[in-house]
Amino acid sequence: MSALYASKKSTLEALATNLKLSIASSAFQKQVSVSVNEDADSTALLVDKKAGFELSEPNAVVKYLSSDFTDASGAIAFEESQLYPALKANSADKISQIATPAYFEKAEITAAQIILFSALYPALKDSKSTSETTEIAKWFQDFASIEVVQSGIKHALSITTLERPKAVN
Amino acid sequence: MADFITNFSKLSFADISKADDSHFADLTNEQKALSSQFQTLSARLDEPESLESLNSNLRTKTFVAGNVASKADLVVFEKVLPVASKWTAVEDLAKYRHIIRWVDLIQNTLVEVPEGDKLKVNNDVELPREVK
Repeated sequence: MSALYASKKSTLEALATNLKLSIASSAFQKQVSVSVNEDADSTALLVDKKAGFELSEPNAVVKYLSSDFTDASGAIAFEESQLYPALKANSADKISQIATPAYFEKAEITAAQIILFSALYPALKDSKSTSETTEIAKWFQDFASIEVVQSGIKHALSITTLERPKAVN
Repeated sequence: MADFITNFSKLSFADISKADDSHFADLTNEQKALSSQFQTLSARLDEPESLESLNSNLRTKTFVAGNVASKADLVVFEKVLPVASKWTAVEDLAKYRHIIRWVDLIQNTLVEVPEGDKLKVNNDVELPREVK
C-alpha cells in the first residue's frame, strides 16, 4: 500500500497536483487519502516504503494508481507541454488563454481525464453552463459532477492553501 | 541484463526518437511509472528539482526505471547529455555523480554517440563524500 503526500506549496501548480492525487486516490485507492508529509524536506508524492519505491511527478502518480500508462488522446502530452508552464507561472489567466481541444467525448475516470481536468481546474472551476459553453467546458462540468471527482476536489481543497492573487494596478 | 546489453544493437544518437518500447523488456507498473516520470521531467531540466530527482533515483538503480533498460533511458539521455557535458565544477560533478555514472553507461551500451559529443568522465577527480 502506497502513502500519498500533498504538494505543500501555495500555488496553482500545487492545487493541480493535489487535485490529481486526490481524485486518483478517490477513484482507485480509496483506503488511502492524500496527507501532508511531516518530513519537510521530502518532495515525494507517493511512497511505498516496503517496496522502496517513490514518485515525485504527479502525472506518473495518476498513471500508476490507475495502472493506465497510455495517452491515446494526446491530452497528457498537451497538459505537460501547454498547461504546465501556465500552472508553473501561477496564472489562471494564462491557463484560460490556452485553447484546449475537446479531447474527450464523454466524461469518465481515466488517467488522462484526471490529469487534464486538474490542470484546467483553476481556469474553469467557476464556468457556468450556458448555451455558448464550449465543448471543453461542457466536458469539464460533466467530469466535475462524477461522485468520486467531487470527493477528490473537496479533499484537495481541504489540504491546499492558496496564496491570494496579487492585485493588479 | 548482461545478455540484453550484449545483444542490444546500439542506436545512433540521432535515431533516439525512433526507438520504441518493443526494443526493451516488458516493465512492471512501478517501472512504467518511473519511466513515465523521468520522461516528463526530462523536458524540465531547467528546473533544478528535475536533475536532483533523477540523480537521487539513480543512486539505487542501474537504469532510469530500475535494473532494466527502457525507452526512458534513451529519451532522458538525449536531453541530459548536453546538460551533463557542461558540468566541470567539482560541485556539479559531486552533486550529479549518479547521473554521470548513468550517462557513461548509456553512451557505452545503448547509444552510439559521436566521439566529440561523448561525456568525458574524469575518474581522477576527487569528489567529496556523498551526504544523503
